[in-house]
Amino acid sequence: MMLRLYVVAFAIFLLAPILAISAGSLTETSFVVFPPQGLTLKWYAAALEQRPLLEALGFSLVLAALSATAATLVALPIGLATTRYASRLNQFVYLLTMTPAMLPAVFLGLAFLIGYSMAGIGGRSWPLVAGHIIMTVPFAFSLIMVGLATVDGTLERAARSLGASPLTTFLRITLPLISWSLAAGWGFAFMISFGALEVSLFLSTTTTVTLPVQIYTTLDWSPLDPTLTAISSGVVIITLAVLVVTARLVSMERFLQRGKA
Amino acid sequence: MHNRISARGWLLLLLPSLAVLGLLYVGPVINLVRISFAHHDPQVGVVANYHLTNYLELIRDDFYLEVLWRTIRLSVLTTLFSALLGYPIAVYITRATGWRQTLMFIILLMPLVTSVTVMSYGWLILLGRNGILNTIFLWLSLIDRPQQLMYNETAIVVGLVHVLVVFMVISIAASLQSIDQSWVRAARSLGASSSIAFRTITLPLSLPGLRTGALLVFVLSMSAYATPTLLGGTRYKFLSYLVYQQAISLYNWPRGAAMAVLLLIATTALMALASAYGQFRTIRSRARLGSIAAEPSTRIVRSAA
Repeated sequence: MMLRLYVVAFAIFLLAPILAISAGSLTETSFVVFPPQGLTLKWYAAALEQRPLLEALGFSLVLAALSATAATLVALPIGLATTRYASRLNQFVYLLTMTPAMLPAVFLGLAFLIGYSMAGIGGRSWPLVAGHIIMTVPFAFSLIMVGLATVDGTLERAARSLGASPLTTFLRITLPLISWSLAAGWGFAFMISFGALEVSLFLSTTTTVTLPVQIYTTLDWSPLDPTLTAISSGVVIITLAVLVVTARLVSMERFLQRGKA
Repeated sequence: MHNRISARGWLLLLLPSLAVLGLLYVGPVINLVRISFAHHDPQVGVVANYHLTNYLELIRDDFYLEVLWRTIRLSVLTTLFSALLGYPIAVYITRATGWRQTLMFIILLMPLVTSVTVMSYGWLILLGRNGILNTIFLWLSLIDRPQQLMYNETAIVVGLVHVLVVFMVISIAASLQSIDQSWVRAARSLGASSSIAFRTITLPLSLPGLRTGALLVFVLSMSAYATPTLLGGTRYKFLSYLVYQQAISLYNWPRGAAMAVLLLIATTALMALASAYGQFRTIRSRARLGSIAAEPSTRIVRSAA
């Protein structure tokens, strides 16, 4: 009973800032107050007229979809190779793939900024795409590994022994069995890219601004602007939608299996 | 699973991915380390003249050391609070079933996947001078005028625990779930109270998860950028902010690179230190437990009495 009370209190703590944003966006006043004075959706309408915010939102969505797709494509072969082939280098490849998630974000951001501009791929949105791919690969990879760990190896061996080529085995047996983890990995990568600030701060130019960067810079100017709250709760809704779908794909048990696998 | 050991198949499968990682990731990282030794010229920019000056200047800089110390101190606090607050949640999440478990899982992940800027903005609304907490406190007459709850170190720790505690919970839950419950039942049937069964069986067996969680939270907290910047205000900066400031505002890439490398070194060194200490403790307690393990039942019954 005590535990349950604590869990509720803790859930309130976790949700408080998100609820505050959502509640704050409904106020009639031109600055965010609590409790909101009157209820209105006018700040959502106002947010829809803010071109920089909308452009940043569109850019962030495209960037997140693009990098999540590329990250999944990069991570899948690594997952297959390190689980289906015995090699002494597997441990090394595994570490190489996971480290972007462990390095400080500013370390990565600065490395990308200096590296990409010295290599001449600066300008336009390519540095952002490249940086976001590297940054999200570990997240797609860890979920793909969960998926691969749940596939029974005997099924693949059976297909191979019946004469199926490795490619056919992959397409007909492995891929259908792990498709949920590919989708979940993609969703996870999408959310990470969509919410990323630091790496984007280093790589954004005046023409390529992601939504978190736009919000971050606007926060400095006018912290209590209700349009900012409106767009922020819009972000929360998008994230929540992706999260619920992803969480349905990966049940808690599957996720925790990783610790044992 | 390893039906055929084929180095060629392994390599062919990996080649495209490794090329992407090598070009877009490993290359820039090595280059960053190289640049950290370079010289910065205000007119020309990066000069390929390598020495240790950047590093030596940093470790003699009092302001830099103060920020480094704050980053370490608040990261340790964040790790401690995440462990204390997260442990019961991990226990709950492993016991709960069905929609309760899924719901808690989603609530835990919300702060993680919501943009940090959005989240910090939420704290601003909660903790600001006209914020929700001040309104509630005023209404309850706990205070007589609005207090500044933001822009201090406490706010930074609250914000960091809020986003990072999920890593602690998931790590602990993973190791809690692998504990064979029959051990706990055996202890209980032999007369151990639930708190003794917890202390002597569940807690020690969940230590690996606690350790993983602590490492994750500590690393992520050391490199935090947005939360400390937005919640700590202008006075309480974290190392990450200094890196950004050097590289972007002051356009000093070599010095920024040196700071970033030092941040990584500090994090890794502290982690290695903590895990070495942890290993030392485990070896010592194993040696101590060795004699008791011979008759675990007597120990449990004795401590129950």
